Amino acid sequence: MSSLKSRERVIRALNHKETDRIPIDIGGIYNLTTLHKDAYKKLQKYLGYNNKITISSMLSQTAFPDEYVRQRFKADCYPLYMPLDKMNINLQWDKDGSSWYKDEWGVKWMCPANGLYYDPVGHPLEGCTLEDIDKFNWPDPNDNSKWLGMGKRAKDLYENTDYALVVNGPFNGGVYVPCQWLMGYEDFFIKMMIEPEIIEAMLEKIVEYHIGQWNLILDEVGKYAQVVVLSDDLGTQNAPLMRPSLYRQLIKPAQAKVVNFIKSKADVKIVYHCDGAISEFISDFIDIGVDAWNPVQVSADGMDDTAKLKKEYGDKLTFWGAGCESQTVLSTKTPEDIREEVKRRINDLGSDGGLILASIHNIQKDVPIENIVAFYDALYEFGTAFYQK
Amino acid sequence: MKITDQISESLQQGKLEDVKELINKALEDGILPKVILNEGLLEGMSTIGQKFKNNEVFVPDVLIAARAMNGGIEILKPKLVDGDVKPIARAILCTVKGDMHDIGKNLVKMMLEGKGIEVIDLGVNVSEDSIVEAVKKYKPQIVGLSALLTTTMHQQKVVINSLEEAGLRDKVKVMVGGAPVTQTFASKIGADAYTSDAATCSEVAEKFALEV
Ligand code: B12
Repeated sequence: MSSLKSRERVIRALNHKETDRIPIDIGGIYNLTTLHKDAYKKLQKYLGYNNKITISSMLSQTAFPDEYVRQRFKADCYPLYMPLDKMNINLQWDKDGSSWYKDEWGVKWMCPANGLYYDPVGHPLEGCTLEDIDKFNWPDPNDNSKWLGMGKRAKDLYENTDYALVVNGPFNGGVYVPCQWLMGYEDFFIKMMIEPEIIEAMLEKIVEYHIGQWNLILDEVGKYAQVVVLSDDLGTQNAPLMRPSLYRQLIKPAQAKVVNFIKSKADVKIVYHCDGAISEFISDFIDIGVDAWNPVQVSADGMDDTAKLKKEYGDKLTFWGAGCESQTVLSTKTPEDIREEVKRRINDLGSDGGLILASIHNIQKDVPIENIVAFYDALYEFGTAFYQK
Repeated sequence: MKITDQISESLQQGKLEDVKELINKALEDGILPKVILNEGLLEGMSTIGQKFKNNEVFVPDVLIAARAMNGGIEILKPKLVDGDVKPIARAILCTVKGDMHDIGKNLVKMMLEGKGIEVIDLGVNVSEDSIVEAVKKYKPQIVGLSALLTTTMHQQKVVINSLEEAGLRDKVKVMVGGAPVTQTFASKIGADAYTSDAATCSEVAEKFALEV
């Protein structure tokens, strides 16, 4: 096949058509397929330069890969997201060296002294009642201040580059996960079981926010973007995080509303991020209209047999990630092992399109630089060789 | 069905009010608080742990069961005499420095308590120094370390080294766990035990407790 442009390559892959080579994503999902800033620093140093790093996601402390990195490793995707300066973060420092801020919902995010990430530690609606949800000062779903200017950027990228544009929206794409930020993880799980009406009420608010925001975002970028990211974790290392029936009863309908709205508004594909051991949920994703699934955490139970996943779901779902096992191989094995692993995943998942290669979650600080480079180079090498066989 | 079995059943379903009611009834019937605790509450918690391990129930189920257990214990507490509730061992538990994941650690805590082990929970992001301090202060038999990230699992090794340096290593059994941790890793860093789930963790801890 003659050589394709990045955008076309990604679109074809998402439509389950073969491409000249398998598309690669580095940083398109701005908080999930990129590198932690410390890993990125190593990469820059290896490549022989030392520019100021743009942090894409506050929570993940991830780098926005610059043009040099994208070109060097042949990445095909480009993220659209709200830059940090629009978040109005008022960072505070505690005596113990930890730093924290509150977001517009009142959720407190904290990074311990010498920590690597910001995580939710203060939950404004912990222990809430229906009345509390009613009275809560919910941010306005129709506030467009954060997304102003995104349309111009999208148009510019659309017209002047070949990249596939990936939109990262409110709550990092979370539909139910924001409930956990607002009320805390345990409170959320307990309420799911004993006061589901509270979860439903909160989900309604969050869906309303999503729809309001996506309406504004897609007005700005809908004409130019190819992909929208959603994200809700449903898996642990070895099991679903919750009863599948409970997911179907409470969460799935909320996710479906957001997916439907986005799809009715713009001609985009949806990539849905979900870690862990989630075999039981894959058909639900397909059901609600998700087009692609990230990251395919192959080290979680039941996820290692990627050939089987492809056989079962490959005609309906694009795999976005899956590049290399990230809990042992990427960080502790040799470049040669990594190449073998990349080759294997491509062989399992590459046929007939439906694969966009990326790291499984962000590349973390502990990954040796020679492994990072071997990994990205292998994506291109084997992703090219695969269709030329 | 025996009333203690009913208590265990209701606990497994997370029915806090039912558990309380049944306990009051059992007390009225003259059943010993200690029997209600062991054959009702702790038995129920242990069963739910097994079901969790077999993927028959999930995180939310365990959380509401633990909530019911704690509610039940509240009622029993004033009625139990000292000898009834003497914990079989004491454990220090935490998520290691740099790591904020605590859902798994909290389940481990609940399961350990379900085996009658007293748990001092140091929380998340806990440094090796704080752990050494806590071991000196509380003199536990068990130290449980949770780590969910490849960037923090090595901290488990750092803790073991610090315990060694402080001359405390042979005073405690160190148990490690969390998503990326494996038996191979645990052996390599010299931990005394690894388990992949909270129920098995509590069983191994119980064994350790009985050995001491
Ligand atoms: C929920 C979750 C979160 C939540 C945590 C909320 C909380 N309060 O805990 C949030 C969103 C905050 C989060 C944040 C991050 N996370 Co996270 N997270 C997960 C997820 C999806 C589930 C973890 C979980 O709660 N499981 C449920 C519990 C019940 O299981 P468990 O913890 O494994 O515990 C069981 C056993 O392991 C064992 N056990 C646990 N502890 C102990 C201790 C002892 C002594 C013993 C014997 C046994 C034992 O018993 C438990 C019960 O059976 C996992 C996916 C996965 N595969 O695990 C990713 C995962 C762990 N996260 C990951 C990452 C990368 C992150 C972030 C870095 C993301 C980011 N922001 O960039 C941050 C880092 C936060 C930090 N500073 O620590 C990666 C780690 C990858 C790696 N390289 O190691 C994972 C594997 C996801 C992935 N696909 O790669 N995360």
